[in-house]
Amino acid sequence: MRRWITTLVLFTVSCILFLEMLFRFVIPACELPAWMQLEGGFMVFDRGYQEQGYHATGRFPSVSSMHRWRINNDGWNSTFRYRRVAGRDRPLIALLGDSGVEGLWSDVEEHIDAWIHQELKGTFDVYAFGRHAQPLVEIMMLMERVDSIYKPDIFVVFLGHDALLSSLTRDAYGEYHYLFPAPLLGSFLVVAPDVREPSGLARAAMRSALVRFLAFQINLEIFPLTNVTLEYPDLSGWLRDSWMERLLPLAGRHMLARMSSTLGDRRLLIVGDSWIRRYSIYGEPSNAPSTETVDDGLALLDSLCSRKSTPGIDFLDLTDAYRAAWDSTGTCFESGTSRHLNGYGNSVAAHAIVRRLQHSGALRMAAASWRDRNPHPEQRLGR
Amino acid sequence: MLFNSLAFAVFLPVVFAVYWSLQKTPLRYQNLFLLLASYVFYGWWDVRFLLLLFVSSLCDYLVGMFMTGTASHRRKRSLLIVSLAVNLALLGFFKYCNFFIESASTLLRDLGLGHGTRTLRIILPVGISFYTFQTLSYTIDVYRGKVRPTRDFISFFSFVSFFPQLVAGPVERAKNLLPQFYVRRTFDPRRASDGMRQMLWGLIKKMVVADNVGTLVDYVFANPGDMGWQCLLIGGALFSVQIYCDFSGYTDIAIGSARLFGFDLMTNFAYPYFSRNLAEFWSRWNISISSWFREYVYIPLGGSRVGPVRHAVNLVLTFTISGLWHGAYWTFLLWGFLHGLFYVLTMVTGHTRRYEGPVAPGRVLPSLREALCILLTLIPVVLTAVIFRTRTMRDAAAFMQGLLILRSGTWPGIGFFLQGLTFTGVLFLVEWLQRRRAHGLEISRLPRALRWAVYYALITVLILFGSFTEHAFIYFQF
Repeated sequence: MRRWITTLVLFTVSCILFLEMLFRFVIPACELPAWMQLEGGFMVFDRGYQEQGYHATGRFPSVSSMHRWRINNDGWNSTFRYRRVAGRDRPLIALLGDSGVEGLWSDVEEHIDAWIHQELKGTFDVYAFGRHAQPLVEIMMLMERVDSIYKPDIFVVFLGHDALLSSLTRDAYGEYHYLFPAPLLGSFLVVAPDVREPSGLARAAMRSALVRFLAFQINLEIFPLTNVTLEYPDLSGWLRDSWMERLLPLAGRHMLARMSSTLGDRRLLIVGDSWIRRYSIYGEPSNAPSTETVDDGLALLDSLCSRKSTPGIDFLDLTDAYRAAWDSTGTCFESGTSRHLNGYGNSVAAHAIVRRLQHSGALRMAAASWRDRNPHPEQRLGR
Repeated sequence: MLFNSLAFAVFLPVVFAVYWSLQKTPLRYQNLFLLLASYVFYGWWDVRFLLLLFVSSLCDYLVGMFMTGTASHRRKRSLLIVSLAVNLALLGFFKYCNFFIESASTLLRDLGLGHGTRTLRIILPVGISFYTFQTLSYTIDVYRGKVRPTRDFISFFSFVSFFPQLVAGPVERAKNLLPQFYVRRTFDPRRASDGMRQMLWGLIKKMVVADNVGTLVDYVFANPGDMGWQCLLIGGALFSVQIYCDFSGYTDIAIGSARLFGFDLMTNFAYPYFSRNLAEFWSRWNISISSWFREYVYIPLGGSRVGPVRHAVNLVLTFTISGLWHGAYWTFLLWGFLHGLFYVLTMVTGHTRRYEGPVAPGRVLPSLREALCILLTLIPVVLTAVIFRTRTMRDAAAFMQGLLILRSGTWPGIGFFLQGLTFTGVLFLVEWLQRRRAHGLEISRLPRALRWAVYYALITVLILFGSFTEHAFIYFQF
C-alpha cells in the first residue's frame, strides 16, 4: 500500500506540475492583479503582489483576448507614473470610474486615459482611478481623496453601470461606501466600508497559474479566501423598491451637490457609456444584455447635471460619438464577448471626451488656472 | 454530497485514509467506520433523510432476524408483507403521494364531482427508490431462502447505506454485497488503481459530456413546440447521450470508489447503445434495476412460463411499473409502457436473440447487418427517451408532432450543437474501442508512461471542458 500511495503522490505532483506548465505557457491563465484596501476603505491594486500581467477570460482565451495590465506606483492600472502635485509640471485630468476605467478589458496602453493623454499631445497629465462597479457615492468619496493627494485640474467620471442605484445599497462584498437615507436629518449619510486585510494565503495561491485558471476561468471556489463574502449589515435593507423612484433623484442631487462643492471653480465631466444603446447601433438590439436601470440611471444623471444646483458639472452621452464612429469605420467597440470597450472603443470615448472638454472651455480654463498657480514650472522643478 | 463536488473530493481521501488505517483492527470497526461515513455522506443533503434510511434498514434487519427464528411459512409471509408495507409506504408517501392526489383530483374534476386540489409539501429524499429496493431485495431473498439472514447489525446497516451506491445504485443484491462485509478486505493496488481509472472515466462522462450536452438539451426541451424538426432530432438524440453519460458516469464513480475500499459492485451499464436488439439493450442498460424488476416483478407474475398473451401482458406490466419507479409523472409511465410494447413487438417478430459478448467480436468495425441492428435498436430508445425527458404529455406530443411532420421552427444552426456532438462522437469512439473491457478507461495493460500520459490528457480535458457548477445527477431524482 505504501508503494501505491507513493506512486499516487508522485502522479499527483507531476500532474499538478504538468497543469501548471500548461496554464502558464500553453493555455495562459489570467493574472488578475490583487486588490488591497487602504485606510478609509478605498481599494487599490496591491503593488506587493505582481506589477504586470495579462487578463484573459473564458476557458480558451486566444492571444487576442488577453489584455495587458500594469500596476503603477500608486496601485492603479495605468502606464503612467502618478506624481503628487508638487512633482508635476503640467495640469492634471483625473479620470474616475468603473470597470471601463479600471481597464482590464483592453491593453493598458489603449486605455481611455492613455488616449486622452495622446489626444492632448501630453499637455495634460491624465491619471485614471477605476474600480469595477464603483457606485457613484464611492466615486464621490474617491474624488475627495484624489483631490487631497493630486489636486487635479479637471475631473472626468466615466460610468457604464447603474452607479446611482447601486449607491443606495451595500454591495455584496462590502467593499464600497454607500449612501444611507436618513429621513430624520432630511439628508443622506455616507457609510464607509470595513477595512479588510489582504489575505496572504490567497495571494500566495494566486501565484500558481493552475490556481488562477481554476479560480478565475472556471470559477471553481476551491480557494474561498480569494472571494470572501462576509456578513455586512446593510442599513438600506429596509428600503422598498417602490420608494426608489423618489429617492434616486434626491440621492443623485445630494451626491452631485457634494461633488460640485469639492470642485470649487474646476470642472467635472460625467460621461455616460450606455452599452445598451451602444449595441443598438449595430442594429441588433436583441444582442444587448438588458439592464434598463443603466439607461434610466444615466438619463437621470444627465437631467440632474443640467440643474443650477450642480455648477461646474457637465454630462456627456457617448452614444452619438459611437454612432458617428461606427458610420465612418464600421468597427466594433467591444472587447470580445464582453460589453466593455476595446482599445478602439476607448479611443472613440477619449476623442469625444476631449472634444467636449475643449468645447466647454474646461481645458483652456484648467490650463490657464495651472499657469496662474505655477508661473515657472521648469524653475520650480529645478530644470 | 455529490460525487462531482468539492466536498466529495475532500471526503473520499479522508475516508479512504481512515478506513485503511483501521485495517489491523477488528473488522467491525472498519465496517462501523464505513457506516458512519455513509451516514455523513447521506446526511450532507439533509440530516432528516437519515431517519428514513435508518427506519428502512431497521425494518428489514428485524424482519430478517424474525424470519430466522421461525419455521412457519405463514409467519414468514406475514413478515415479508410487513417489510413490503413499510418500504412501499415510505416510497409511496414520499414519491407518489402528490401524484395520486393530483391525478384523482383531475379525474374528479373531469367527472364534475369536485374542484380544486390541495397537495402536501413533501421533499423527495434523495435515492429513496434505490435503497428501499435494495433492502426489499434482501427481505425477499431471505424469504425465498436464497440469502441467510444476518445478525450482524453493523454489516447490514453498512450494506444498505454503503455510500458509493447509496443514492443512485447500482441496486445491489444482498447475496453479492452483504458477504463482502463479513470478510476482511485487503488492499489490492491493482484494484484500487483501476477503481480510480473508472472514477476518472465517470467524471469525464458526467462533467464533460453529460453536463455540456445537458445545456443544449435544456434549450431544445424548454420549448419544444417552437423548435424546428432538426433541433428536435438532435435534441432528442443528445438527451439519450446525456442520460447515458450522466447515469453510467455516476455508476462508474460508484463502482470505482467502492473498489478503493475493496468492494466489488455489480456492473450496471455494459455499452447499451451498441446493442443489436431491445432484449440486448435491456440486458446492458441499468442492469441492476432491470434485473431487479425481472427477478422480483416479472418472474413472480409468471414470466415467460405462461401463455403468449399473458407473457406479453407480464412484459408490458413490468416495464410500466419500472416506468413508474422512475417517478410520479405520466410521461414515465408512458415511457415504460412503450418500452414494454416495443419489447413485445420484437418478441413477436422474433428479434429477441440473446447475444453473448460484445458486438463485432475480433473486428474493429461492425458488419453492415450489425450496424443496421444497432441503428434500429436506437430508434425506439431515442424516441422513448424524448417522452422520458418531457414532463407533460402535451410537451411530449408537441415534440413528437414536430419530428413527424418535419415542422419548421427555431434552428440555431449546427454550430450551436457542434461541441456537444463532438464530445458525443469522441466518447462513443472510445467506448467502441473499449467495448470488451469493463469500462472505457480500462488501460492497465498499457505501459505506465503511456497510461500517465492518458491520465494527464483526460484531467486536462476535464478542467478545460468540464462543468464545475455541481449539476446533480439525473437519477438522483428517482
